[in-house]
Amino acid sequence: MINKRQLRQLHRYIGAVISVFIVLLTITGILLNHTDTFRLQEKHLRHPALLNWYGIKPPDITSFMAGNSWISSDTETAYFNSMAIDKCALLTGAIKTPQMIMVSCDNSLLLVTNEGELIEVIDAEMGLPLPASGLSQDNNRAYLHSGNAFYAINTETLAFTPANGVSSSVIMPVKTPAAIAKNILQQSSAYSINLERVLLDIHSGRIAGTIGVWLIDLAALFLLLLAASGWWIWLKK
Amino acid sequence: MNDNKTMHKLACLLIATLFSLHISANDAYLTHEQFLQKAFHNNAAVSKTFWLKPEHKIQAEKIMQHRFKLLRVRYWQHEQKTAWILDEIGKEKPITIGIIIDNNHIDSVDILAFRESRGWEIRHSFFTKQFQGLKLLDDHKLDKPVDGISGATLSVSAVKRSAILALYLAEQVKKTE
Repeated sequence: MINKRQLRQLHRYIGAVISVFIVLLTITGILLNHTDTFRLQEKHLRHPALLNWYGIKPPDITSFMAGNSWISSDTETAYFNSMAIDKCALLTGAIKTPQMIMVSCDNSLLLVTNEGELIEVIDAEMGLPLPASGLSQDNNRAYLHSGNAFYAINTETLAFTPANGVSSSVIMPVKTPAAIAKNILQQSSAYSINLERVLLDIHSGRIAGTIGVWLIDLAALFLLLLAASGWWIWLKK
Repeated sequence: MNDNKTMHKLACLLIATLFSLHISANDAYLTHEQFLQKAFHNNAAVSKTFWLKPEHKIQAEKIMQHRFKLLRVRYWQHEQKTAWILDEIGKEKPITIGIIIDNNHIDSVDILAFRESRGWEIRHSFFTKQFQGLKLLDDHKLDKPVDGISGATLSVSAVKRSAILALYLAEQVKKTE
């Protein structure tokens, strides 16, 4: 049977061992409790070692030339040169018309000024034929390619009229210049991990895989033991 | 006999639960077409766009409390009534909100699509009905308070901001007419 002295010693050892975990769990727990206040989801971490730990690889960047501007996508966001425009998972085309730049993503059409400002986003609910698989230009008229058909685009009335005899083919992507690719990667949310995810994984131990989870479970059990031994010592005083 | 009744009740509960799960998994509650039909009934509404001047953009950003990306906003109009479909992020994903403005007052607010995992209660009429008849004060606030929902604070705030923006834009449209 364990005596009072041994119990005190055990209580001390358990306390010392799990003190590191308590600090870790307390700090991460408090931060996670105020995710919205601290805007943890908007804080993107980009350290190569951390991204490598999570197995996050640089995304493929697709680009099109629209006039003198580069329109690119990093599988999450569309960019005008290196400036983020709006969400665009799959960039399928970009053309410059006399009035604006049109950017087609698989499920939306972004209308952008020549300076890269977003004018409007047109989606299926607004009449956009899906999938928006590309753009084409013929005599200054813009056409959307969807399925096997071309549709003349009227951005004012949002009419997509089936068009026959479009002579030009769908605009093809071009190689992204290295400088633009570098700038995009530096701000890409597709090549980052948000602070909330990392804190959640530290809190649960998942950052270290299955062993980490077991370790946190063990720390929780030790915490329980610490509480029990503390009560026992106090009651036996 | 009693056992049968209990089984029947349990079966009903199970079906109701499955049905409610199905509803909450489906994020689209109302199509644009259904919303516009509700707004204008059989009257033909005209689709128009409102171009935001720099001063409008500044106000829109103040109201929304973040960068307002769009340069023009689409709306539908029939006489004094305008309908606005706005996307606003609650926590992570956009909520599609339909707002009908009639003569500078909110006629109705509808949640067309909800994509977040929490806060979907805002789509129910006990919440959206509170907006009926509200108008905009000079300081760009609603003239009456709107009660929140526990656990849906960010979604509630997104709907309030969108309602204020729709009132503001409708007011600006009226000025340009």
